[in-house]
This record gives sequence, C-alpha cells and structure tokens, in this order.
Amino acid sequence: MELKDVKKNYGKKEILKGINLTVQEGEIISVLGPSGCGKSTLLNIIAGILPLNAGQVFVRGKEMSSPHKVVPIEQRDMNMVFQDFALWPHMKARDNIIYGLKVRKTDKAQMQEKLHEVETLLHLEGLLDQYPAELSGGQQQRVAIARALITNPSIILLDEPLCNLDVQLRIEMRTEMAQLFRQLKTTVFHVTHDPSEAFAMADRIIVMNQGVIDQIATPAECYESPRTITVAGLLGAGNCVHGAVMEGPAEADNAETHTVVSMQNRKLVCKSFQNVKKGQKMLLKFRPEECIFVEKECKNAIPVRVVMSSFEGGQYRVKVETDGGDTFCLLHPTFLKEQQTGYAQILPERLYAYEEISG
Amino acid sequence: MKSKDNAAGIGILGLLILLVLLPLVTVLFQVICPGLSLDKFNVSNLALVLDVFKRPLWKKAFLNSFFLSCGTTVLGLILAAILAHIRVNYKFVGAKLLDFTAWVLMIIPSFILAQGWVYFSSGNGIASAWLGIKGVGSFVFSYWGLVCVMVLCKFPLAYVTIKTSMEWYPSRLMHAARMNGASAFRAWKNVQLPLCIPAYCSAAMLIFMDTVGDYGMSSTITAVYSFPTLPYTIYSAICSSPVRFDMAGVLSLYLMVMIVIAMAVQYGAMGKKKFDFLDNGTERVMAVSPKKPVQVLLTTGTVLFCLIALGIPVGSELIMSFSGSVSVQKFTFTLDNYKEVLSSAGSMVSGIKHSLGLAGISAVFGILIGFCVAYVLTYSRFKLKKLIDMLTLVAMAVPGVVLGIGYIFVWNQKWLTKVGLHLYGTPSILVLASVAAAIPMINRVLVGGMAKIPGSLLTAAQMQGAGFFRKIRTILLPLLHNSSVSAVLAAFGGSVFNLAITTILYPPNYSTLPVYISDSYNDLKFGYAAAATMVGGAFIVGIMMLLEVVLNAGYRKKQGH
Repeated sequence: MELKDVKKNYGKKEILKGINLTVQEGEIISVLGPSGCGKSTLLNIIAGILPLNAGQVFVRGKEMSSPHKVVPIEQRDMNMVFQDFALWPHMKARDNIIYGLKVRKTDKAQMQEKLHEVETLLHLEGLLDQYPAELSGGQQQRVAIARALITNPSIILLDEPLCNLDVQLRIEMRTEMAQLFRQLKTTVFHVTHDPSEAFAMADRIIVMNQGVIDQIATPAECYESPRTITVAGLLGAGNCVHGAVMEGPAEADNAETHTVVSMQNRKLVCKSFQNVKKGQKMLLKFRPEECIFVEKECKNAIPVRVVMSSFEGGQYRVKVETDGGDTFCLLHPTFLKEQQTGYAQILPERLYAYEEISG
Repeated sequence: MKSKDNAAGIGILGLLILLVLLPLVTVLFQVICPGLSLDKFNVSNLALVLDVFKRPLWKKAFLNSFFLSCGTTVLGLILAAILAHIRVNYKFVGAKLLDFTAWVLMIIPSFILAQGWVYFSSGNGIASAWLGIKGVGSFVFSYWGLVCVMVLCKFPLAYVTIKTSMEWYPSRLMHAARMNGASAFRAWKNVQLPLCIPAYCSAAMLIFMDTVGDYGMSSTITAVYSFPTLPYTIYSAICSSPVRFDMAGVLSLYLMVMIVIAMAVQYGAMGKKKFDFLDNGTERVMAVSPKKPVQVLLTTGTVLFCLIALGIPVGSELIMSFSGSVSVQKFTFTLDNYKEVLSSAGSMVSGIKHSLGLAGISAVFGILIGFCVAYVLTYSRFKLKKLIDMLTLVAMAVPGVVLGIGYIFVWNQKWLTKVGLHLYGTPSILVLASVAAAIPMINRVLVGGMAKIPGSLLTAAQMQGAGFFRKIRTILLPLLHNSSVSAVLAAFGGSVFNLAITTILYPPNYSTLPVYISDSYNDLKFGYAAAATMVGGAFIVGIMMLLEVVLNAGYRKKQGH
C-alpha cells in the first residue's frame, strides 16, 4: 500500500498535512499518536470511509482514493476490526463471521472449512452459536478478528481494537494478535494511542503529531532514538530539563550523533537529532526508569535535591529538583528522605536533546 | 460514495419540497395572489396581513387560537409535570393506569374526544341529565372550560416527554455538585433542572403546536358553541361560499407564524447546548412506596383523574351510541344505532374501506420515504441535511388544514390537466396529502431507531463486501424492525383518523371514516355518529393489532426465534 501526499481538511482545519507512506506486504504497521493527531482520519481514508482533499492511496498499484475517485469500501479488499467491534447484535457469532463469505457466494463446504479454520485459530470453539451480547469483551474481539480474517483481505485495518478491554485482557490480546498476524503474514495497519500496544505488535511504528508523520521506524529505533520531542514524550521520556549547547567534541563514542550540553556548569553528553549551534538552548528529555540516583558525583549527572518519594510497589518514584529549579522523577529501589542531595545520572544514549523553541 | 449521498439527498429534498414546502408556500402566496391567478397578483394585498387586527372574525379567530393554545400549554405543562413527578417517584396502585390513559388519549383523534365532551357537557347531556351536575355546560363551553378540556386531551404529549426525562437521575453530576458544597436544593436547581429544560421546552412546544393547529376539536365544538379558531376559520374560508383565498392565506400565515415562534422559543431556550447525560453516571430513578394514607390518596386521585380525562369522553361516546334519542335526557336503550351502522353497508363500510386503503398506501409510501429521509439524516454526509431536517420539522408543524388547502392550490391548476396530473378531486390527492402528513411521524420514529445503530455496523458490512441494498436488507432493516413496525402502525393509525385532510380533500363519492363520523355528528345524528365511532374504532384497532402480530410474526419466523 502506498500513500502519496495525502491531505485532509475539516472546513479550514487541516487534519492531515501531506502524508507519504509505503507499507510492504505482510508488514504490521502501528500508527501511534496523541488524540487529534489525525491517525483515525488516516485509517478511515485508507478504508474508504472518508474522502481525501488531496493525494492518492494505492493498494497493489491500483488507485483506491484520490480527490476525484473513491473506490467503494466493499470493493477495496480490506477488512477492519473496529474500536467497538461493530458486531451485528441480531446475528450469532457464526453468522457475523461468515457474512463476508455469503456476500461472496462461497460454496457451503468451503465456507464450513474456512469457518472451522478461524474457529480453531481464534479459539472460538463453543461460541459460534451465541449472540454478541452473550460474549465477553475478549470473545467479542476474537469474533471481530475472525470476521476480518475469514475473507482473506489484502490488508486488515485495526482501529484501536483493544481500547475497550480491561488492562489484563489487553495485555493478553495484544500478544495473541501479534502472534496471529505474524503467523498468517497478514498486512496490518493498526491505529492506537497506547505505545506498549504498538511495541508489542508492530514491525514498524509511525508516530503522528498534528497531521504529520514525526517518525517512521522499528519499535526499538523509535524507543531508543525518538526523533522529535513529541515522539520522546509519547514513548515515555516525560522528564525534561533545560540546557545549552557547549563548544567542543562530544565525549561519547558516537560524536556525529551526540552533542555536549551544559547544565549548571556541568557537561552532559546527549543524543541529538538536529544540527545545533553553540549556545543554543536545548530541552533534555529522558525516562524516569533510565535515570539513577547516586550520592557521589559522577559522569553525565545532574546535582539534585529530593522533594518527595512515593511508594509504587517494588520501587519508589522520587521527585527531585535541580538547582536551576527544574523538577523531574526517577525510580529508586529504596526510600529517599526529603531534602536529601545527590546526583541524577543518565546514560548519554538515553538522554535526548531537542532545540528549545521559544513561546 | 459522496455522489451517492448527494443524489439520495437531492432526491429526498425534492420530494419534501413537493410534498410539504410547495403546498405551504402556495397557501401563504394566496395573500398577494388569490387563487394563484396571476391577473389578481397584487403586492399591496400584503396590507391584508394587518387586517387580522381590524376584521372582527379574523381577530377573534386569531385571539381565540392564541389564548387557547397559551392557556393549554401552561396548564398542560404544569399538570403533566405534576403527574410525571408522581408517576416516576412513587409506587402506588393504579400508577400504570396513568400511562395507559395518556397513551390512549394520544391515540384517540381529537374530534372523537371532543364529541365525547359535547355529549357529556351539553345542556341536556350526561352531566346534567344523569348526574344532576348543573353548570357543567356553561363552564365547558367557555374559554376556561375549553382550556380545561384541551388540557385533558393534550397533556399526554407533555407527560410522556417529561416522564422520560425524569426517569433518569444524573447521580454523578449531582454528586459532583454536592462535593463542591451545593445544598440538595441548589444541586437540583443548578444541575438537574437545567438538564431537564429541553424536555420541558419540547413538551411545551408539542402542546402548543398540537393545540393551535387542531382542527378536529374546534370543528366539533363549533356545532354547539361559537368559538372560532384559526384552523376552523381557514377551513370555512375555503370550503364555504364565497371562497376567500386571501383570508385563508392571511390566517394560515398567522397560524404558521405562531408555530414558528413557538419553535424558535424552544430553540432559543435550549441554545446550542447538548444535554447528553445518559451515561454510566446516570441512574434510573427507583420509585418509593409512600405511607399508606398517601398511597390511598394517590390511587384515588389517579383513578378519579383517569375517569375524568378518559372515562368522560369515551364513556359518553359509549352511552350515546346506545341512545335512542339525540338528548340523553330522553335516553332509551337501543341497539338501533349499531344496527343502522352495520346495515348501512353502503356508506359506512365504503368509508372504512376508503380509509383503510388510504392508510395502507400512506403507511407503505410513508415508510419508504420516511426511511430514506431518516437514512440520509443519520448516515449520509449530504451537505443540505439540515435543510431536510428542517423540512421534516415544518411538515410536523404544518396543521392538517393548511396542508390540505395547500394541496388544493397545488394540484388544482388548469395546466396540470394537460399533463394528466390534475389530481384534485381524485383519491390520489388524498394519498399524497396523507403520505406527506405521515412522513414526519415515521421519520421521527425511524431517526430515533437509527440513532441507536452505529454507522460502524453498516461500514463493517461494507468491509465484508456487502453493497448498499444488501447492507440495508441484512443489517439495518433487521435491527430497525421494532421501530419500523411502530412507524408503520403510527402512520396507519394517524392516516385512518386524519379528519382535517380528508374533510378538505375527499373526492365526491369517496367518503372516509372520519368524514362519515363527523358528517353524522354535524347532522345531529349523535347516537349514530357515536356508534359509528365505536364500530369503526374497534375495527381499525383490530386491524392494527392484527397487523402488528403479522409483522412481528414474520420477523420472528425469519429470525428463527
């Protein structure tokens, strides 16, 4: 599937500002982004539910959507698992699943064979004669996936399919789904706002923000090298301190991707993804779990004072404050007293520097 | 997809313009172009609009309609709110009788209720002749008496609306207010009451619109008490000699203006606020059992009230149907009225036949058009959806009299004869008008049903490869079954007893059931009219019950239940 400069407006508001993307056959793509970033709009455009204002969508080289042409939903050879599953309440699970086969006038023997396949694959034994209202959330979701899989579509679209499930079931189902789609080598386009869901399922993650793609990369690459401040924040690097670029080479192994930032007259080596100039103000982002509290001064560390410690079960979340007034959190195995002083050390590979934009 | 939406939307819009807007505009156009005759076109005729405050009959009709509707709205709203409050919050014997009474009163056409009240209250009616209560006639046939009768007939419209809103208690929102320090009263005043305001506004508008445009009640009461209202005066302007097109136009204009103002007041009161509070934080109100004396009081009050509101008109009809005399004072028990009704096979049976045929066709065409309208309004992205919605509202608001007269103007033009569409004087015009009158109700019921069916269910079917008609047939229609049956029955029942439209448009030798009953009543054949009402009503109700059973049985069979 290929998207070329896809744009979408609602009135004067630009929702998608020119999306370019290629998805390979058998690839699982997760689109991640905050609410209102345009990810659901993108999914609906691919599905043919929404028209686009500019650009084109191709599937296997065939144009599916453009401002002048929209191939009807039913002729796109795609299928979708909806956020609310959209199971037809007046049909039993069996009828929900085989509906697409009936539409295609599949002969009965083949229909039974395919039904049996998905029944086994998705552990639906004993559930086929029940109505959706009689099924649990997880069972409903499996029926919805079975319905999407049985027609063997070229692409499966997943619209936040786990968000209506409880936490425990969500964790179970995301692993199951990832395993299933990999096993079937299905092309999947998955929209979510939950990073852990995207990490668990995707071959590549697309991080969207305000109608543009901030980063497309493997889950590990996105996690280790978040290209923008939004990606960093979305993938857990919520801590933020201020610094400025220093002159001189980085004291890290990878000098071309790292930069040295001064903070309270200390040198901090960080990863940087932009060309920076001496004296430029920077925001340094990092994850609480990748920051260590030490009592003695060491490399790549910021002097801090403990503000408070709160027990999180197995560890403490400690809020600390720098001399410059920045506050952030770190995790520590033991309780730290208020006003206790020490150093917060972050490895250069886990400290991300972004240009600070005034205003 | 978008072009399909547009094509469907434009088609629906065109149909609504033809069925609703065009007749309405032609009526209003009469002011400057009486009889739609271009040689009589005169803009200065607009000055006639002000004549409503000079000409005694016009002025009286306008003021009577206005004050009757205002009085009925205020008192009806108060009564409905009190009854709904009692019904929702207290458990007592007879509580369900209140609901039953409300629903029956909503179903019975106003002219039949009015006839019942006339039989009860007239000088030698049941009240004075049998019960010995003097002064009932002089009270009922006065402004306040008519307001009271109207309140008893129209309060169910508000009762059902308010009761539905009272059944839910926004507990989380109320708790939030209390957490912020509000007293119970303040929380009610600032949170619960504003949330219910839309229901009260809708209820008030329904009563006002139904009263101001009610032709059946005013035409029936007029036989014994001169109280000209706009609908009846408009009817007289067109249906008596000399025909006064300009008068019909001016009075229709005022009738519509009053309805539009009522709608505007409602929208103004609601603003752009959307009060969707039916979520997980909302609890269904649990009725409590009050102390024994209070329970007895509530039960007695309810039974008495139901006896007055429903028992008097229906009971009076029943008594009169067995009366051998026009006056109850000289009542002799007889079955002759029924014998005559059933034996006069010619007129009565053909009246029922015509009404059934009309109602059947209206229900079928109405459901087809209403379904398309509701589909476009609910699921399409047609840009002029709001205009379609507004037209359906207008269709609901236009009184039958105005619609009927509009149909005469539209379909009685000479040039239509050349193209074979001169429908005035043929049953086709009745069909068209009945369909137009049925569409708003069908549309409201179906839009309500479709609102509960998320668009994703239809998209899911398309994702499986289902085309438009398959999607409708296999997903939407089965899920919409109950709403569709309700809509068909409501349209059928409404059309059978639509007095205003059939009185104005029925072709020669094509009498309908309501016209037949009304004519008998106007000829002072009270016993006969009452018996015809009973027989016709029972027959129609029987058919509707059968229809419901058949429609639901077919569905159950299909579903394999």
